[in-house]
Amino acid sequence: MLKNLSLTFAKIVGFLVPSLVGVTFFFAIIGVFGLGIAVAGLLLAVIGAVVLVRRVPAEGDAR
Amino acid sequence: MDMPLLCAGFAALSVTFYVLLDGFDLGVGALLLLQPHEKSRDHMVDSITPTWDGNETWLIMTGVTLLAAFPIAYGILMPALYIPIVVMLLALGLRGVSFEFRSQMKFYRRRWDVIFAVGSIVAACMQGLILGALLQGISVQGITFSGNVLDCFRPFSVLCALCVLAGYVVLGGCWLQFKATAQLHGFSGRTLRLALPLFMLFFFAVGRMSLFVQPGILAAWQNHPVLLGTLSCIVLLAAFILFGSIGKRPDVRPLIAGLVMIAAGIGGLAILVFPTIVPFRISIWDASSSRLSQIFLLTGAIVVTPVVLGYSFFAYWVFRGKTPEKGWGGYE
Amino acid sequence: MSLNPATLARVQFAFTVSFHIIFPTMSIGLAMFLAVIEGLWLKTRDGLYLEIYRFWLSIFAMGFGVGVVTGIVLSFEFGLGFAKFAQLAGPAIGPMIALEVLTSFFLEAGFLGIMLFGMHRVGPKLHFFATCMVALGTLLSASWILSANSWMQTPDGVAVHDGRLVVINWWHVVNNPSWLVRLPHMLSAAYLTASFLVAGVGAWYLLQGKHLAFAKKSVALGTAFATVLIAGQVFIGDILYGTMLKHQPSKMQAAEGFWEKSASPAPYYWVILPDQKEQRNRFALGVPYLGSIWLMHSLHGRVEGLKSTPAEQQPIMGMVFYGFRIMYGIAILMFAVATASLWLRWKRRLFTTRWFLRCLVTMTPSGIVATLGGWYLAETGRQPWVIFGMLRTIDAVSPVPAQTLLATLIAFVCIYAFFMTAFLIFVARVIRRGPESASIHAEASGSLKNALRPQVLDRANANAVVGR
Repeated sequence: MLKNLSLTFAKIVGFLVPSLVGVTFFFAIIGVFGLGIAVAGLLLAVIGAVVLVRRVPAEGDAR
Repeated sequence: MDMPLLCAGFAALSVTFYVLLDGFDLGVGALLLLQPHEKSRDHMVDSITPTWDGNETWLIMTGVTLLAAFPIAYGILMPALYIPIVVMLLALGLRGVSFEFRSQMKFYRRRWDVIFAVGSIVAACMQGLILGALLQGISVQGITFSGNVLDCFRPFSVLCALCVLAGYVVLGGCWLQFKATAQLHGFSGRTLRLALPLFMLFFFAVGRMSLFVQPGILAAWQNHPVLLGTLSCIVLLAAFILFGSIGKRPDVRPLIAGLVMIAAGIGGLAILVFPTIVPFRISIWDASSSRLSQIFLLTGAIVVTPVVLGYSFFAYWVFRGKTPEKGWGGYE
Repeated sequence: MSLNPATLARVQFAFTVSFHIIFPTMSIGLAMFLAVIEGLWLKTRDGLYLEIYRFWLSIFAMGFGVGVVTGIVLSFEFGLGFAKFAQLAGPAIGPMIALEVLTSFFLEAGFLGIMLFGMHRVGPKLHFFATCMVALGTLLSASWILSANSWMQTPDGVAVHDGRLVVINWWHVVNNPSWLVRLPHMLSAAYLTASFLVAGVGAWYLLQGKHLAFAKKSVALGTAFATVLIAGQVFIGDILYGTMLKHQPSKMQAAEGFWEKSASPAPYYWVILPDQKEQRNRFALGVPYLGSIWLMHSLHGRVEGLKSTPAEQQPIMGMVFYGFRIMYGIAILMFAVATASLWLRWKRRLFTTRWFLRCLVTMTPSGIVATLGGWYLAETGRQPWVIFGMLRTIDAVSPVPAQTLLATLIAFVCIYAFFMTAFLIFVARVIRRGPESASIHAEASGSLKNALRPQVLDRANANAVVGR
């Protein structure tokens, strides 16, 4: 039962973390916290995405 | 510098390019209906496939030049010629997409050929109708069209429609003389021997009738007898040379004669209506847009047109000679 | 629907332009995608990229053709339906559209041929150049036409003398207040459209277990581009919002669904049932506080209502509001999908998470729907003006009777339906056949097909000349 719990917990985390990160970035980029943060957020999002895409193969046997 | 005059010149150039280039495209399309063999029909379409796209772009250029340089005329002529223009646009649209769809859907090729042909014929007739309506006269009040949308459907306009269709068929036949081999070559020769006299008949009928329906044309003849007379002679001479060179070498002679014949006809039309842009109603100066607009347009035109002509000519040059009977297929 | 010529003219224009915009949006996006793919092929010489190129080339060619044909209609339709607009605005937008024809239509027509048929005939570098030229042509085309439309939204650089428009400053006409913000927004929309088309098709194949290498690459590329683009797009979208708030306040007031100036803090409405006559919402559903946060960037901001604009200058709230919500809603979905794709990529589960792949398949046409929503926002929000602040749409209509307009409207609907059906059948066939059988030279589009082919038509000659 504990194993089930930790699996469920992992799933919840797997949903919450990207959601929270995404929502924060979204709010930042559309300027809710001001223009400066919007630009910073945009740059961070884009650079982060580019780095992630280049560095991490999407699965084990990358092509 | 007389900007309206220069812009009118560019508009005339644009419409001339369109008529000469798309003329033979539409003519070949129309002839599809008369050709019973599928392989020959493929051959006919192949001959115009490489270059039709750029040709049709001159039509847009003409319309947009009118909008940019003579918006008053544009705003009068579009509603006046509403029905033929819409029908023409839909016909050209059907013809345009059937180029692509017909090669993709081999099964339905016959049906696409009919659509292609009908689209070409209807477009040609509409262009003739528009010409006739323009010459006969548009009702204008101030700067607004004041007539009826059905005004353009009168006997004179219908005669012009037939004349233009015949003219395009002649050009189409000339193009096929130049590009086609074997059976198709013979076919185009036979068609020309019929189409050319028919065209001349319509041409004279239109010329005669125009004097009755439009007093402005009578006045134009009286004002420029030498110029118009010379152009008429050129048309006749070109027609004779064309007729005489059917089926003989060099194959390009009918085409050159045909192009000269039509170009001279357009030249005559230009002189007949000059200096009006809504023929016999509104002059180019009264229909003009602002000076800076015309300067902007002309600057762009002067710089870019030579480039466009350059690679258009190059495209035709690459496809010089006969169209291969197997078409443009390559590496299957 | 009343048999009112003004209404019919507007419906006809709305129909033809909505139909048309679908195709150039795809063309602009796919042209750039094809250029990137071909560049990657040249760099890596990985045959998979060539396969991807050929697959999308045929779809691109078909869509391009329909776009051209429906575009020609529009260049005449200004005058057909709205002659008075054409007469007034011609001096300003005419030269811009003329330059669009000169610089981009002819450019596209010229190089499309090599792009479609020149692969083995002009050498890879020149072919790549051709692809780039076509992509450039679509970009230039978008720039010019967006400048013309932006001038209609935020006119500048002209004066009116004797009822005619006179251009005073060309730079102000072209570089009007909203052009340089709307242009990147539209371009991003096109590129996003292509990204989701590519990713969606890839996801479809993955779910079916077919063409795996092609599918994985497609999903990887599509989601990667989408991620970078959507971040930029919402950023630009917010800036554009601010620009339009300044220059077309009535549009943004209608877009948010408030009639009276909102209370503080304001909710963000998602569903409303507006009653334009009574100037109120019969029903409104929203998220509390979100309005102030998103729109006024503060917890207590108040949002302007449409009643701040006099009634005879108000656009129809329902159309503007829903156009905006559809566009924005899809943008949020895209952002969510992009975020999910990054997470799954990090967890190395991008190609195996079936719910996500199904999402991608559903989102395949999302770019097109969002773009349509955005254009409905733009155009209905500008009403009742056709040139904002200068000319009302109903005053711009041509003197054509209602029956004629109705007849041509029916004709357009029928023939365009035919085009769309044929196009969709064709695309379905290409997708069903799959990438390996994409023809070497897409037989579509009868433009300068074999133009600039250095060899001559004769096969024997060709082999002799080339000697490859």
